[in-house]
Amino acid sequence: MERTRRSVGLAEVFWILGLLATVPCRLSALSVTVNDVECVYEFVLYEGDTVSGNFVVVDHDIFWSSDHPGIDLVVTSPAGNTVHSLKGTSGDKFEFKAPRGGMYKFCFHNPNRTPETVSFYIHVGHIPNEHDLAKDEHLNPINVKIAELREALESVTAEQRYLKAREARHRHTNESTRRRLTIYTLTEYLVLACASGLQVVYIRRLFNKSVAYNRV
Amino acid sequence: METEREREHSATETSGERGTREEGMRTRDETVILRAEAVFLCSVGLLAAWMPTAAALWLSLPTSGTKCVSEEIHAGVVAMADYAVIHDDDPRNTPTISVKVTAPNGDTLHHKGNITIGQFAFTSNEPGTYLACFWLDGANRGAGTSVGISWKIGIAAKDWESIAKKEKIEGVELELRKLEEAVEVIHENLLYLRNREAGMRDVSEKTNSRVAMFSFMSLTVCILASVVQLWHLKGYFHKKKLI
Repeated sequence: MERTRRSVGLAEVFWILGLLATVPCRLSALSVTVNDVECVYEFVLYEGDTVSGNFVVVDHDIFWSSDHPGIDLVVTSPAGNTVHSLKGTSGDKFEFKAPRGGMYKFCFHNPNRTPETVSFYIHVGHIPNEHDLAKDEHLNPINVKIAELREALESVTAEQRYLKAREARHRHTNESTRRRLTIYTLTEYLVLACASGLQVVYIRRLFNKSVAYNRV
Repeated sequence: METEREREHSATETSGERGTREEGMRTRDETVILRAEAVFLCSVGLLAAWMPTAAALWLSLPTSGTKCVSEEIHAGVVAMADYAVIHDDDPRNTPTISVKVTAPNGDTLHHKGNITIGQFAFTSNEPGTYLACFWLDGANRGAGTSVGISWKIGIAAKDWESIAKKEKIEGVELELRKLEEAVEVIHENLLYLRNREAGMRDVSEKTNSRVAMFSFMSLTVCILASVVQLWHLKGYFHKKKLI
């Protein structure tokens, strides 16, 4: 009984490997620094795959809020035409159906001179359809349901990554606010004390004995 | 959590496999230890299964300067990456690259030069930004090239084949185990986000109260400065017998 189970287990391992190869599920969640244009390439195996993802501009030392209009994202298909584009955002989600398989180019454009760090996440999800079921005898309808479930969980994970990246950006802003508050308040007190001291010194000089007889 | 898994496992079995169920229970205890060992098995397995054109993110390397990718990782997370230079025109004349991976405290986790393919894996000791930098070797500058990176952390870096082999689970059960792990990761992420939000809320409220306090103090300092000025000047003019 045990021996039969073990030999069956080995064959099943190969079946699993085959299954893994036919249902790709790739994850890329990284941050890059965008100086001018930064392009990232992602391979889409099947036509009709849903490519979803998000990106957030994380590290920014914006002094005035009008300093930075945001960055642009342009997604180009292997044929060369633009599949998806987002302009002037500090972070957004995107999702599109790949019209064909191949190498897709995700380009981030930074219209400003200051380099920005972009945290992005791209996921290519494939759900086997009836054509795949007919082609591959190892697939049965339960695999379709499992793939759908996996894609749903993937979308939750993607949303969480987006929230995490936005939280990081919010944290930067908060800490920058706290730092600015402390530094500017101390500077303000210092400047106030110096200004009143200088005022007193100047008025004293105006009414000085050697000057007073001539002027005031 | 362990008893729930055992209940799930027993529900999918037939009554004729009780012997293997006990064995499954014993191997499950080993799984906890084996997960840590999976990292070492991964580097061998991944190198054999590496397909740079099928499962990777491509980055174009500039002719001069370095291209860096980074990620903020918590403590105790397994990270694994494979990289390979994409040779497009001339397979004999593939440019070589150098890699450097640094931890947030500055330690170099991986540093290799003059290679076209490689991989690295590490377990994060502290939370922070882990940086992986690539650059073209000096002799090869002049033509930009691309490097394919397959970067996986946490659950994606798990070696499911060895777990399936060790626990002798297959097919639908393996897929459901993966989904269960994904759900656990989602739960952990939610808790992490909630904690971070609580910390940020504290900072915001502290900043808010500080703004109020510093504004009042600033007003007080202003009034005090003018009062001291007037008092001092009055005394000075009295001394000078001007008023």
